[in-house]
Amino acid sequence: MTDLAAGPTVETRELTSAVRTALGTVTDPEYPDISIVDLGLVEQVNVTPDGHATVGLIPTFSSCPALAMIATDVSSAVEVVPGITDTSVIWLSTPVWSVDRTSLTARRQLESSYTVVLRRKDGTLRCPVCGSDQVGDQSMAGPTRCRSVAWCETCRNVVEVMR
Amino acid sequence: MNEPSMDPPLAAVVLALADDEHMVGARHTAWIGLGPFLEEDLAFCSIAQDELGHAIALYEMLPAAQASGIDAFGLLREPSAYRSSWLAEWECTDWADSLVRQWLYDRAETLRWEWLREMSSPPLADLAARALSEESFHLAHAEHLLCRVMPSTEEAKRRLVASTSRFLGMSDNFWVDLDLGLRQQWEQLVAGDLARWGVEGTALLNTPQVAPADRSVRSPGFDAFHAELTEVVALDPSAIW
Ligand SMILES: [Zn+2]
Repeated sequence: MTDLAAGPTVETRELTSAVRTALGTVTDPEYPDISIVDLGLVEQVNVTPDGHATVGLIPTFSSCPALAMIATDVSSAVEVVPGITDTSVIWLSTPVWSVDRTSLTARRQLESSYTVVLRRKDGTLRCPVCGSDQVGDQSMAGPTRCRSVAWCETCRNVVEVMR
Repeated sequence: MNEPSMDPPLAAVVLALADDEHMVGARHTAWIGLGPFLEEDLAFCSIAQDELGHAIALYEMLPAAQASGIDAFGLLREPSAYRSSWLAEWECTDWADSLVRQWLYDRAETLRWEWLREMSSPPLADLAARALSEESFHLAHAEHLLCRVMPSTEEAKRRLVASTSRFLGMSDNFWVDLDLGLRQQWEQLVAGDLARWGVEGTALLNTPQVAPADRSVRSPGFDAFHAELTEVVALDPSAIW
């Protein structure tokens, strides 16, 4: 891996930061207003002095049907960064994605746009509609592989839980 | 590429697991739109998606599949070149059969992934760790349903025990040449599950074997199933997806 051995110079550091900014504009096809950076999909960004960018991503789960689309979107966004000559996107087999990788911004967007919540550390849930703690699990299987279904006893709304 | 040193025994384990994941995942999809209740429809759909995802990831690690492309390798081999088990290939038209097969299969699959996580190196060991994080959902699905349905009525118990007996009669076929010291652990886990659900497992585990102890022999419904899997690609083998 020559890009790692070269060590960061001022130029590559600036390019890397420009690539990271560009990655912030790439969204998850399933949540089209949430960036893949906020969802915790971006694990590594390396740029060589001659402008070759390598982006290491981790999938939310191994059979996610959006992987190919995300990789294409990442290439398109990074290729147009001034100074980038060529882009590689790799799916890393480690670390394993978990909901802990999502940012506070992503969590707020999931709640407000999708009524999707993340489980608290103690395993409890808070209703994204009314704020109640009276939310109980209903089904481990939800409308997609990465969401389960819960129900708010206070406002009687269905709440989806990212898992 | 940092290829795993795929010595022949390890490659055989990966191929058998990949073909099992492919077949069982495709069989689980039969319940899409037909599950006995909505959550079950969705559950089989999610489990199927995981297993097919694992199959793709495992095929990608096999040099033979890399050479021909994984679609061609996964779909267009001669039937005798597949190494899937009868348990994975079996057509289940009764939900009881599908549920029992899912339980028995995922008990074994989890042991296989644990073995791969310990005995192989990255990236295969990493894939195993990731798959195991997904597998707990499958085992919970089987447990939550079977612990309630098995003791519910005499008819439920009779039908589920008959399904269990049928699939345990395919155990030799499942474990042949790929025991890895796991079959005994699997049988203990299966017996423990049955005991928790109020069923005596010893006689069931000694059920007469009905499938050949040879993974190169396809199960009776394989040809029709394979024709269904390849129906679209057969229309235009040169089409690009
Ligand atoms: Zn509420």
